[in-house]
Amino acid sequence: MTELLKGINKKGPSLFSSHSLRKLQISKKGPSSFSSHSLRKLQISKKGQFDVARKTIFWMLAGVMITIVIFVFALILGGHKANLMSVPLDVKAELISLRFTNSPECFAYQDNVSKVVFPGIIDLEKFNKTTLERCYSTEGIGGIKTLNFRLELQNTNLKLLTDNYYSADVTDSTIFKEVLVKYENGLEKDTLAIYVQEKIKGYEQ
Amino acid sequence: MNKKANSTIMIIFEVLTLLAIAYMMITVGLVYGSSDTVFKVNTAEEIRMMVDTLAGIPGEAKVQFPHNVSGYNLKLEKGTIAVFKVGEEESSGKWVTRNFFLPAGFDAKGISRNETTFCLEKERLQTKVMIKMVSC
Repeated sequence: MTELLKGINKKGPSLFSSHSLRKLQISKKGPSSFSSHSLRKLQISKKGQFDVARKTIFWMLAGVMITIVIFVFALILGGHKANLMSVPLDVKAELISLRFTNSPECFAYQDNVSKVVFPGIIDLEKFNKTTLERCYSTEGIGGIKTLNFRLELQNTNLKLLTDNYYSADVTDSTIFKEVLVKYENGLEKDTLAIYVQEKIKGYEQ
Repeated sequence: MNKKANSTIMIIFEVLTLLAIAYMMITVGLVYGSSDTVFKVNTAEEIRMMVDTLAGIPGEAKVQFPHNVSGYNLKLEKGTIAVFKVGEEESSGKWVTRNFFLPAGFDAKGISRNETTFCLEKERLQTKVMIKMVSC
């Protein structure tokens, strides 16, 4: 018996809990009671204890894994929802920038007499900061949260910025439009480059 | 209890737990995918793009919204479009609003109450340009 106890102790204290010790102490009461049956009992008890520990470890790991899976799932769902609701920047910018070349309230040439508007023809007299502010002004509701534009007539080398265009170095998208520029003497071909700046990082609409 | 039986019960419990988790995740995914918020945001974005397009054409125009919006109210004001379900109060925080920027001299207004569809109409008046939300 003592040898058995020594043998068990050698295996490590974790295997030898108070429960198994109590069982063992009961067995120690008499040498006759220490049969092969009680030895088997001791072995089963140890194995059962190991099973419980194994299950506990398994469920602890499973709990961690399930939590990670749920977090990943939430992230995927969030991304999916954002995808469902997102509109490409180029589409938004293209639709807003239609006004720069087509609307008489912006830079489109309008005949003074007939009042006919010529989309795609830019009136050089109108191509200034005042007209741009009347055409597209974001100040009222916080322009840093929406699109801003830098317009550049490339041959004429004229540049205009909308009221909250942050920095010339930051451009999220660029649109090029072939236009005609109306001078006093006539028309000339040019390219209108529209540099688009989305909301400044950190601000959400 | 028999050790083998105990093990079988444990396996059943584990399978049921995994099934319950999978079911919950699928349900939540479906709810997310078909949520009102997505519809409201997409509708508001589309109306904003329609308004931007109307502001970007030289003449007058009338265009029909291509989706069914019954069950929802829409409120167009100068610079804002709001989409919300019938019966939702503004204070509930469930309204989805989007802002847009019109050129000077432009105005926008109109309401659609639980209608199947609506039209946006650009009209040049004497002193200003109106973008109206009207019945088709």
